[in-house]
Amino acid sequence: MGRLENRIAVVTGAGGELGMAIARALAAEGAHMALFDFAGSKELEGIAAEIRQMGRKAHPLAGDLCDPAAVKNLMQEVAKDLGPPTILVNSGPGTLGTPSRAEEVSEEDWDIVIDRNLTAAFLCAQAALRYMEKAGAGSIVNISSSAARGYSDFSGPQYVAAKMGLIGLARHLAREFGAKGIRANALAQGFTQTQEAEPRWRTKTEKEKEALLRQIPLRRRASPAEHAKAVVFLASDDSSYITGATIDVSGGMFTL
Amino acid sequence: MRLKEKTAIVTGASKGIGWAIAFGLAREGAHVAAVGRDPARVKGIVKEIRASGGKAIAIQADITQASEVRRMVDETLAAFQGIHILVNCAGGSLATSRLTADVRKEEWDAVVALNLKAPFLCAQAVFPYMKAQKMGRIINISSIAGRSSADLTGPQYTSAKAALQGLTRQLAREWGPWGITVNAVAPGITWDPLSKRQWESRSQEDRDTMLGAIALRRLAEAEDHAGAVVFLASEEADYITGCTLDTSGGRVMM
Repeated sequence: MGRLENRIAVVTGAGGELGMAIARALAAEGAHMALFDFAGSKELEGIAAEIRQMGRKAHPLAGDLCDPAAVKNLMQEVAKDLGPPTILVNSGPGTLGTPSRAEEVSEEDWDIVIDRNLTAAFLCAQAALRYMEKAGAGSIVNISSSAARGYSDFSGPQYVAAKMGLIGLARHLAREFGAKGIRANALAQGFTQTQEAEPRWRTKTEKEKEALLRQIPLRRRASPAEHAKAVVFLASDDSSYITGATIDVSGGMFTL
Repeated sequence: MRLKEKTAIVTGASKGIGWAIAFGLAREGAHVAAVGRDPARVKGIVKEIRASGGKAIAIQADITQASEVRRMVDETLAAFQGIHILVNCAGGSLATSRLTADVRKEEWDAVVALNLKAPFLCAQAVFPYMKAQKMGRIINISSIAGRSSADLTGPQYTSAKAALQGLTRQLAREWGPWGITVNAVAPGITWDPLSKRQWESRSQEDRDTMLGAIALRRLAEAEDHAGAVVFLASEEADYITGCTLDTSGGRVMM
């Protein structure tokens, strides 16, 4: 018997590597999955098929997560097909390849990163909370970053601001909806080994890699699966008295 | 079971949060060395773990003494294989003065010894075994008092519990390369006989104010914290170290 048996979970960014790992981990604990992403995500069907093979329901839903009406419709579809969602994981698309130096960031760069990481999370939460309030239970997990807990040399102010915003959003929702049995937390992910990050990692010299790893007490990067396990904890009743918190999954690099 | 065959030492296991932690770890398959000052009470948790099919031994020790800590480790190793998990839960304000002007040096020393020095001695004593097996989990039970401040306890308690978080980060940094993670849990006000008495002596207005400051609008049960400790002790928290996890119902958000 899984710890999330038959609960309905929405994961955004479900077509990305981290989103997929989170979807797998939640499904492995018994949850049925609504897989959200922006239109054009090619991986959604693949991860949906994988989850169905695990014996869980999976509903891939692509759309404009920055459009309130579209998000509301998607959430309605989840409630109709799977049941009312009580778990929401906001896993945004990250830097989207935007520059890391403030002077190079265009207004478009700023907008797309804030919109897709922060605004989309707010809209998904707003839409999901209607169902969580009715259920009298819910857990929201925002995927933030070590960049928002400390600093980052590899991503720009638009990314750090968005990730910091996700922590603030979790705190506000924790406060506003705590009395209704709904919890909201953030997970700050540290350096993570993904296919997406691999090309940039390979451009570093051995010396640079070593210097970077030396800053991490555990001396290695995280795997997406390790973040997913912390999400399962925050989604489950094991974290019954944790809300408004940020868990650093950073190998000790940044902690508060 | 998430902690099958792992050996866990839990200090302060004879009541409240420590009791719930010892039971929670045992339920996940860990073999528990339950440590406490009062031999009768520490036998109580061992009895309960055994009755539910788990493995546990009782160790009576004053862990503010290095020699007693040594004996605690020896007795654990005599009963079980290796030491994988240490939960430093023994602590408390020892009913010492609450107002700074009243705090005697003896009170300061006693509270700092129990809440800060004892966790340090215990961590130091288990380190060689964790290092040798390239795996270890140390979880320090701090307090909301150490994360913020408190009305019901004095500066000695707040300082010691805050320092325990510093110790957590320092050990995490030093021992990370050996696959040892060190984290803290900072519980909010939790139901026990003492907090119940204090709660009952408060006015309704006071209670409403206190609950209003907690996002979940309730005080904690000991089990609320045990879930977080089990998580940090398990392989699910492999990449988490140096953290202080607030189990405060949203009273503290960091």
